[in-house]
Amino acid sequence: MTRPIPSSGEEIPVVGLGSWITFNVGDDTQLRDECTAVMQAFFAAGGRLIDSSPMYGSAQETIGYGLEKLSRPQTLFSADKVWIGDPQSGREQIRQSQSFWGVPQFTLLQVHNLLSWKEHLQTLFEMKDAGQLKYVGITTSEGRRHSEVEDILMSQPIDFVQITYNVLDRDVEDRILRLATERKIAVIVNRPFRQGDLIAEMADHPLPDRVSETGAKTRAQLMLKFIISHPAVTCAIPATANVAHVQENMEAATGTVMDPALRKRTIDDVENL
Amino acid sequence: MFSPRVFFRQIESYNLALWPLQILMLLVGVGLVCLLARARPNASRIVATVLAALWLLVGWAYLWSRLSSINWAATYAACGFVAQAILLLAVQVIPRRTGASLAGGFAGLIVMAVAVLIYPGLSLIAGRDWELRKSSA
Repeated sequence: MTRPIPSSGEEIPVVGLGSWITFNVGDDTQLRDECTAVMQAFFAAGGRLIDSSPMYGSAQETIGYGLEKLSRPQTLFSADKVWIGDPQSGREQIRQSQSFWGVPQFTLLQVHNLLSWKEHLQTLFEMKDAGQLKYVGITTSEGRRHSEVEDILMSQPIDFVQITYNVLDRDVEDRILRLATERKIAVIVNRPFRQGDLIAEMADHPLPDRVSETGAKTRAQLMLKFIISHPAVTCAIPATANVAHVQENMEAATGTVMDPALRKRTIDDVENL
Repeated sequence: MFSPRVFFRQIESYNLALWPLQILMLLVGVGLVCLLARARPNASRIVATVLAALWLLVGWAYLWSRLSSINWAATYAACGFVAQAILLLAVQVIPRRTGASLAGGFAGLIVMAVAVLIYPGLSLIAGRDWELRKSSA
């Protein structure tokens, strides 16, 4: 299952791969190899978008290690971020991030958590104009600074916005997701499982009866189906260091999505746990 | 920022890389306490110099060289350890008041008790045993 990036029409799979915590493994070769296996399973299942940040410790280096081991898959959609308070250091940080990934340029660069966003966006737009970057975006998470995000969506010609959205964190539905649709901005969704807490909370409860109609077989797939069923969402990026889990996540990108009635029932079911 | 599994594997590999330096460090610790207890000339100067060296060692070998790979904030902590080492050396050249401070001595005893009695037991309280475990591998 793919969705178009509104600004270009390019189709990308609706499930990507995050790297927060899970890929921050330092120089531990065994753990790096495990992350490489996760990336291999991700690409084998048709995945493309991998997301990281300079804030994620050694995650960028782990991704670079994995890409090298996997002979640099041509289908990679590399999404990284600029995260530094000093605007003058943005380009240098981006160069370092490219070096860690081992890529000549990123597909998407986002201003992480709106840090120095005015100056960094200027840099990213210049890079895009110079052909050094395909897409520009901003990120926030856990509901922070939404009114500022809305202002940026309204005023800046960005291609992507990354926000937290899941069955319990739905604040973005009323404004940000609607604005993104109106402004033709792609939406990346982080923390789809609330860092695993949602799955843990649901562990002792059966899946809703009708959910099997969508092809979801597990709680993780149910949560991902809920997210990608929203028409404004372009891609959800669950993070994992487990091959079985990445395969499970990628399966959520097959079958059908939820209709509004099932989405409503899923919300009720989870809120009543 | 990093998972417990990654952290404990890093601690494990750090300890393996240092082994058997831990034994030597225990002996150094006992030696420093004996030195202070017997009130030899220049004892406090020797103790402070050795502690400064150890602060530098931990700051460089662990915080800077290891932990910073999974936690960027550790680089700042490493700088703090260097500052602490400098302070330990500086205190030896700054003229001091004569006579021990009762409050300072009590605080020192508490810090030592925590370091010797409580801190080593934290991993046991957290459910981890003393031995290297394959489950963490």
